[in-house]
Amino acid sequence: MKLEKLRERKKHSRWLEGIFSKNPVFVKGLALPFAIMITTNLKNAVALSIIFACVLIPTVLLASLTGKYLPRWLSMMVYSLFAMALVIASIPLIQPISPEIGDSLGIYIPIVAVNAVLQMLCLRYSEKNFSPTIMALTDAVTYSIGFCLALCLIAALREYFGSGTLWGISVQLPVRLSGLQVAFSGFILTAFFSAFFRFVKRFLLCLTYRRLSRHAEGTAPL
Amino acid sequence: MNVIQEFLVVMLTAIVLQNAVFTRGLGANKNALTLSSPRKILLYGATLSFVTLVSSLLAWPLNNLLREKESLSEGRLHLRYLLVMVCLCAVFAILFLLTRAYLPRLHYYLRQVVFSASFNSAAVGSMLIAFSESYGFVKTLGFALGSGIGCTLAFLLVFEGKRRLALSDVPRSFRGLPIMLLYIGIFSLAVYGLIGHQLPT
Repeated sequence: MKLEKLRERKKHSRWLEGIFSKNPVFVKGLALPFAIMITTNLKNAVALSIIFACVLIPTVLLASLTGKYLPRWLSMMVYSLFAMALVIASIPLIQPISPEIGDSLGIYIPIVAVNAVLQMLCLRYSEKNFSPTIMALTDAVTYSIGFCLALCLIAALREYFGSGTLWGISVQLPVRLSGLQVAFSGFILTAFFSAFFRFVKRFLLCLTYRRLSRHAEGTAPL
Repeated sequence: MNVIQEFLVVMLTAIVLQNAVFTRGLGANKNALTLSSPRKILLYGATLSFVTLVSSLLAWPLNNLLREKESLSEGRLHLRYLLVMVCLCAVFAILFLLTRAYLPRLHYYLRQVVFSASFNSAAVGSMLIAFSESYGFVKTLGFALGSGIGCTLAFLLVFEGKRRLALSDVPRSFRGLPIMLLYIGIFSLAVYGLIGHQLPT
């Protein structure tokens, strides 16, 4: 009975799972190169999140609509090429953030087209017996938001403590940890955030389970 | 002799000093890092190395052709992205269809890893780095092969670390992905100590 209620609650949270409970970076461990390498400042994180959303949402929709008609080996090629075309088309969108943003992101812009989140969602929604387009759209949007949140969280921390700025504006800090700007700290910070997310997820699950069991004990027939 | 020397130096640099996983985070995703046996890692790495090498072989002359056309200077960079992806798709299709038709036994094992090994950030990234650094033909091939081998060695190291960590008493929240990322982070710090500077992106 309790498990049934838990399952029911999980079904409701299915709509937003990409943001927290199945966050693509911290929980699923996908799209790690971006979380580790380009999160040295907030502008990079926001720019890449814009490109990511512009690529992920249309490509997953395409996969959901055409997946049934294409063989699997061909579909991966089609989606990757389509995603790369979208990457190129969305580059002008990030230019207003900063003129040198393209140079600072470098090769991490085109590899958005082959990122693991995109491949996972495309494979999931191109299967013949998988769920409707609306779920594909929901997942694409929530995974994009989850990705953006994860990147901004790491980037804000690394920029604030690493270079003493936030969105390029300098802030007063008694201590500056310049090591946070280097790649290895990206791995380590992502690891700590991932552990924190797991802890919170488990804690919330336990809390829900306890509340449900207390409720069941209270209403049980004597 | 000089050509072989050049090839080997660039390849060794790509394997150790510019390791795709430890220095750029390329190819690092949970699916690749959690491959369950050395045999699968070797198959994955061999596919990745092959696809990257042959794609570079195809893409280098075409990229050179693009570079020669000065009129395309602004959009050339973006055309290069598409070119790399087209070459990658061509090699993937040839590999997939040829093994399916003529080497069914190899295809049986390959089909489990061929998608993720071909459409991989390490493959695309290493080709684009070689092109942006304006490497010659031999250097580009050396870098592509070195990146593939470097990734394979990195995955093997992570696998070995994971095996040893399984025997340790790791806090519950850190089990799985977090402890693996910490392990890679410490390795990355060691490689950073060797390089001593930020790599170009």
